[in-house]
Amino acid sequence: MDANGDDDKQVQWSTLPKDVIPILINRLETRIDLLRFRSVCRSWRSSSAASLSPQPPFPLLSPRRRPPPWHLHRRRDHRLPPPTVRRNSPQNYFPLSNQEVNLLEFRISQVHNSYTFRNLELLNRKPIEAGLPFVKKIVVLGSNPDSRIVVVVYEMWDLDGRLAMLRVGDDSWTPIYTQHFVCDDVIVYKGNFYTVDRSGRAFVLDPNMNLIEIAPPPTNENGKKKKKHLVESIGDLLLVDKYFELHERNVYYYKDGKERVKSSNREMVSEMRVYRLNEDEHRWVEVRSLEDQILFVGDDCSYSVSAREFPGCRGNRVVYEDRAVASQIEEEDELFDGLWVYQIGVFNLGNGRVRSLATCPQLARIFWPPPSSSGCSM
Amino acid sequence: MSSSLEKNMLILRSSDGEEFIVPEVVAVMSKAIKNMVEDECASNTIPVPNVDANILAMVIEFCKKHDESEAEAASDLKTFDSEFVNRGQEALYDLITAANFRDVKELLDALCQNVAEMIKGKSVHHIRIQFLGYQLFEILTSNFIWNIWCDRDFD
Repeated sequence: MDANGDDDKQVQWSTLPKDVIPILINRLETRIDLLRFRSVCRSWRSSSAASLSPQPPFPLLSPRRRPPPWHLHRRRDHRLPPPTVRRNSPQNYFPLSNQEVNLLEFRISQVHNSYTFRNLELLNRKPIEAGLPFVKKIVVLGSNPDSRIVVVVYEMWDLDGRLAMLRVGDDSWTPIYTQHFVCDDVIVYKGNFYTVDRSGRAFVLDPNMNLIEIAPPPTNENGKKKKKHLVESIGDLLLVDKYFELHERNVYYYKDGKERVKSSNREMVSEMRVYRLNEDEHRWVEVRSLEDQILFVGDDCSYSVSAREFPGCRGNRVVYEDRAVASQIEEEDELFDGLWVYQIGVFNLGNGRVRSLATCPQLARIFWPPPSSSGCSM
Repeated sequence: MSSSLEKNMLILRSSDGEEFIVPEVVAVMSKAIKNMVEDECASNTIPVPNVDANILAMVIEFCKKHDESEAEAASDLKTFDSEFVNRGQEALYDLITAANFRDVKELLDALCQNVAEMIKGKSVHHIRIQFLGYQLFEILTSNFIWNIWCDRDFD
C-alpha cells in the first residue's frame, strides 16, 4: 500500500532530478543494489557513478600510535547465489570465503552483512604485529551513512573481549565497560545493540551507550571453558554456548625418514547449548530444537538460514569453525570430496553429536565451490 | 497585510496561489528561502513556484516538527521521519523534487532514505515495476541489449 497508494497517476521516476540520485545512491550501501539501480533505466544509469563512494575513514582504536586511519569495508561474502544459467539445478550455495562470483552467472541474494576494517597500508601485516588491537567483530547500526554507530569487539595486549563504540564523525572510540564485563559477542537486534559477556549475562546498549543488564547468565553451568555467540534466528535472539574440552589425538609426522607419532592435546568444542532471550521475563530459555534452521556461527558474524532453501539438508544444526574437529573423523566415515571442510564443525542439537563438515556431504555440498566431480562447474 | 504580521513570520505562496504563514526559523530550513531572506531580496511574501499547496503544507509540517523537536529525543524524530515519508509514489516524488528544489536537506535525506529502502534487495524487474510502471515496455524495446544482460543477472 505504502508505495503504490496513488495509482491514478504514474510518476515519472526516470526524470528524478539529477542531483538527487547521488544522495539516493549514498543510501544503497551494497554494490549489488547499486548495480541493480543503474540497470533500471538509462537516466538513472547516466546520472550515477559506477561505484559507491568510499566510507569515511575511522580513527584507530589504539591511542598510542598514529598509523593511517581505517576504512570500514563491507565484505562481499555470505551471499546465496543459486545459478540462473543452469535452471535445472535448483541448488543454493554459500561461498566459503571472500570469493568473487561472476554476476552474469548467478542470482545473488544477501543473507547477511558483515564488516571488516581495511587499512591499505597495513593490509599485508597482522594487526598484532602492527601494534594494533585485534578487532574480532564489527557491527553497524543505522543505514544513513552520516549517522551510523559502529561497535567493535576487540582484544589488545592481554585484554580480551573489550567493547568500544564510535559515532560516525567522532574523533575517537568510546570504551564500553561495566564491572566484570568481558565481551563475547555483540549483535544488532531490533534496532539496538545487544551484547553478551563470557558469563552469559545479556546487555542492551541504551541510547547513551550504557550497558543495561537484561538477563542473568543461563543456569546450566558445568565449569567447562565456554565461548558465546549471539545469532538472530527468525525473529528471536539466540545465545549459542560452545563448551570446550581438551581432546587428545595422535599427530603423525616424519622425522629422519621414519613415521613417528606423538599425542597432542587440543581444545575442541564438545557440546553446545542454545538459549532464546525472553525479554519479558528477563532470562535465557533453553532451546531444545531449532526446527529447520541452520545456524552459522563465527567470531566475526553469525546468521541463521532455513534448511528448506538447501535441498537435502536438515535443520537443527549449528555450523562453526573448529580446527580440532577433524580428529572426530573416524575411519569408516565416508568423506566429502573436493573441499577443505575438515576444520568446520557441525553440531546436531537433536542428538548432541559433533562432527566434521567433511562427514556431512549433504551440508558440505552447499558451500561454494562445489567439487568438480558433481558436474556443477561452469 | 504584511504590516499586520508578527515579527519573524513569513508568508509562503504556493504555485497554485495558497498562502501559508510560517515562522522565519521554519522557513529558512529551506536553504533557497534562507538565501532569499539573507539577501533581503524577499518581501514578507515569498513565492514558492513549482510546489503546490498540498506538497508545501507537507514540507512545512516536516520543517515545523524538526524545528520544535531539537530538544526532543532523536528517536522520536526518527519515528516521525519514517512515518512522514511513508507516502504514495506521487506525493513521494513531488516531495523529493520540492525538497531538492528548495534545498531542505533533512527532508531530502529522509525521503531518499525511504526510496533507498524500497530499492534495497529488490531485483531490477521489481524496481522497474515499482518505480517506472507502464514505461517498462518502452525501455525494454529501446534498450534491449542491456536488458538481456540484466535479466540473466538478476532475473
